[in-house]
Amino acid sequence: MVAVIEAPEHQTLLMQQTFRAVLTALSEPLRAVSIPALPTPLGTTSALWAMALTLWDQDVSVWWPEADDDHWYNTLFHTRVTRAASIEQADWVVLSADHPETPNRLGLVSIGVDERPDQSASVLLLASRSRTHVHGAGPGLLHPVEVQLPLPEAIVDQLMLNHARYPLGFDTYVVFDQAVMGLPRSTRLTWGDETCTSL
Amino acid sequence: MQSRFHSVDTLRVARLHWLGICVRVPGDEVRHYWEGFERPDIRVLKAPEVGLVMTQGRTHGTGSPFLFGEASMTRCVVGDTEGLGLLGYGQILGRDKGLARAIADLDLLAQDVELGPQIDLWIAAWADELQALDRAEAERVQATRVDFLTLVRGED
Repeated sequence: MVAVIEAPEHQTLLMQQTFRAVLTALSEPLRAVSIPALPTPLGTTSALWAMALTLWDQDVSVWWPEADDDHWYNTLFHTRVTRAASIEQADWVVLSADHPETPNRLGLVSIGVDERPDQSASVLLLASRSRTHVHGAGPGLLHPVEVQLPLPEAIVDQLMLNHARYPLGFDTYVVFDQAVMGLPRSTRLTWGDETCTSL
Repeated sequence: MQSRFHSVDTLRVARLHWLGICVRVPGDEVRHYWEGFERPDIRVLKAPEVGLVMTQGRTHGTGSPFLFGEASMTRCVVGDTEGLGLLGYGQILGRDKGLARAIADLDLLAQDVELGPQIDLWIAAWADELQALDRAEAERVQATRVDFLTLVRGED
């Protein structure tokens, strides 16, 4: 039997704080912003669950290939999202940065159409253990920044391609245990001087 | 706890019946019965919370529906503590959190083999009272009813 977890206490307040944090993350790209901690279903990070409760409702569809029955039952119970039939049709996509299929899957995510680039999908990327040295510039960054992005090179490659199609493209959130980093399609990434493959 | 329903469909039909009655019974009546009832431990999955629902209206029977206005509502979801996956829902118009919780508890325990029959007795009694009220209201309206009759004007 699937275990349903309790909604967090003071849920409205927590979700308002999370929403504010997500807005901050998108408006100040490449900076990790803290998300309030809360009880989560087994195997889900606190930040991912907080974002799910805050941003998903019955009007959106989600494609989450690595979610098990427990995750889906809790997600459907608490948010009433619909399960997308395919990644191309999803409004939200949840992918693990360390999964070998993720770079290919990012190539299938909806990027909107010329008339409505806002209808593209949003991607929640669970942070990787590896780091890639990149430079970032664009709206929300007063000066170019240099960061160790917690994503493998193949995914950074896809994000560079994503920016090249601007204003089309998807917006990405890199999700840590208790923080989120925004990577909107408007952020331009370039390779840094060195790449390290472990923490 | 042990569910007395063997399929989702039979539970849905029974639930429609008892929840439809619970939300029409005055809140004090539900609470009165509820407070005197010895009940097992219950997990609160979604604590009572107040929100808004958009209501629809029609100008007449065949009119197009339009958005009439927002109404406040309160909802609560509870579950069993034994991991059986049984859920109880309480959704009412208004802002009475205690009543939403009581109805959610009642919805959960009405599914139980042992406690369900006791709750069925309350539901049956409330259903009789509501039926009597509906009948009295129908009779009151009937007494002042006017049947309009249109006569053929005879132009043709």
